[in-house]
Amino acid sequence: MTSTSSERVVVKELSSSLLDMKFMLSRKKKIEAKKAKSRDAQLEEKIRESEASSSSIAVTAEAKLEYCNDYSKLENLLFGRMSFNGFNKDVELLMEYYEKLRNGELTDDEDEGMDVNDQEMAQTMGGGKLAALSKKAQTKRERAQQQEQNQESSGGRRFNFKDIRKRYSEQNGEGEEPERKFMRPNDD
Amino acid sequence: MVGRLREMRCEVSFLKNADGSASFSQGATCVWASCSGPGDVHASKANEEAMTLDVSYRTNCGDNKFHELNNIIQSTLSKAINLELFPHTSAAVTIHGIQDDGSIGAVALNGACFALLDNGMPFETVFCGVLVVRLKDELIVDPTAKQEAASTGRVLFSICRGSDGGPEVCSMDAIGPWDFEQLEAAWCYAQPSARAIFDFYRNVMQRKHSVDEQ
Amino acid sequence: MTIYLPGDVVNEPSSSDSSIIGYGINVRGETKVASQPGVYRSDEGKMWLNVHSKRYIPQEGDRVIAIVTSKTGDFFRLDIGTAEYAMVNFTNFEGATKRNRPNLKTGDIIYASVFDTTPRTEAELTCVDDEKRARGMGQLNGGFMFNVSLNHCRRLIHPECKILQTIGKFFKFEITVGMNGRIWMNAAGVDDIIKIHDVIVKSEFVKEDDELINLVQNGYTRSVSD
Repeated sequence: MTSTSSERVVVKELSSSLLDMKFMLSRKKKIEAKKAKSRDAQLEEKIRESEASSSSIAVTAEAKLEYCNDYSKLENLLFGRMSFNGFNKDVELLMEYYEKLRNGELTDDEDEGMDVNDQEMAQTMGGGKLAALSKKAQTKRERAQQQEQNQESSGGRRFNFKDIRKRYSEQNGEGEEPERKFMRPNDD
Repeated sequence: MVGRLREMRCEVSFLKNADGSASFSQGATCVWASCSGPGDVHASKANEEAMTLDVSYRTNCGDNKFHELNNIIQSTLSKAINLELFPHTSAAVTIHGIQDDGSIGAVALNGACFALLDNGMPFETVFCGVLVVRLKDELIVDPTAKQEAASTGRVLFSICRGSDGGPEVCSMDAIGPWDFEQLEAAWCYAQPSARAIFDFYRNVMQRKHSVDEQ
Repeated sequence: MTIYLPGDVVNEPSSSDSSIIGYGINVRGETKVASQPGVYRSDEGKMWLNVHSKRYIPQEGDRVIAIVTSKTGDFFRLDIGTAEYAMVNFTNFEGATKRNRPNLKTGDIIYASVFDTTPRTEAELTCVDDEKRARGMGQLNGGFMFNVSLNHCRRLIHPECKILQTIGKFFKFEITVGMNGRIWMNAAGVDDIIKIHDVIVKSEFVKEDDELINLVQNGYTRSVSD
């Protein structure tokens, strides 16, 4: 398959159909917020320029008054659902989430601590299996080298030959057990 | 020239079903007032531009649809509340005269204002009522029933607060022969009473809100 | 603690640097005039009046408790205590699609937030936030709902108010407070629900901490069935 002249397509903006999909919702919000901000900033600059050029009276600070009738913002109220003494665990989790939101420790689009970090993710998705397979595929020499490395790091007793072999066989057993396990067919 | 108000007493929020209510008395004259709103309105009475005010003054017995006080109370309330804030809704203000020992019109107006304050609805300015009568060339403020019956002329001032904080006439209901100077003199006597009533409003509201002291 | 009556000019020393004008205050030209009776409150550049009232007026962003009155077309019609009914679209629930409609019947109670209050139309509510997640909103099952005044509701969920925490030390329960004056709660037994309801209603006029603790203790130890 020959490619045409090597042009690299650089994606600067996501397509609108992609943004419309549900899983892209939070990303879409971020992009829109950024756009709105930059638009506002541009407008302000324009106004400032035109003010500087014209000889009008300076706008007093009073003109920047904002109206807000939302009591929960004015008084910094808590979230309306509460549970005490464990009556409803979901609500208690929500209480913590909203508490963090109120204190600004958490931004709106971060998951509430149920995030799985990369290590765990790799482990559960089969990282452990991969390590076991690769171990099986090692040659004897490589295995022995790894053994030495492990022993060195743990500072084990090198001169106890019996123990080495035991440990070696044990390790082998651990690594091979998932492969060698006999799957009993269900009789029922 | 007696320019003193009788002793005033008030209890607010004493009715459970109304949004705002007040039991107000001046001397021995007592009214109960209630105000509920802005609430739902029947399509036949609905006004697309403004809130419909349903004001009624009732006595202990007799007709409760038509009373001469309804006029002045309605006109005062329409001025005091900005009706265009809540289109397609209605507010019901009901004032029930419990005991009449003179100057019932003024007491009714004051009671209505308390009920509005208790309701918490937004409105432009507080208002009050003061009755001045002329008894043998003497002007008396807030007369008792006996004095009122013996008087030769009565004028009920409905007073609201102007933009400078001082009292301003909002509407007036005069009965009997009055000439201009007498009216002016009556207004002079009514003003300090109006101020006293406004201060009383403030006191009562202060006590009501004192639970928020934290 | 200064109280303002409608028509008063709001003239607090800190008002000159406040830039957010809140509830109950109108600006006319240069002056700020109170339009509702209330206690003046200010906090970090915001100023407002704390108004006592019982009648709810819909405000965007408020979370309210609503009762389902009917289903019409694509909407549920809800009663939130205002002059007109409010509505919520079927799709504004978590996990709802055109085919998968939420299972609400007349008389069910939901906790939703107001997101559209255009003046001449009915208020519209939603049970999800911007990212289509429920975050605690939705149907409230079982339990008991009652009315209190609006200012008491706000006081209950104020960060410095200890009423609910004090009750929580004695009882095991859950509670949802709506800004429209409605409170829904659920507890282990009917007795508990009655006691907690009484305590909440009576605590509206309690100022002191000791009085509050006494009230809750009395509520806890008294017997309900007579």
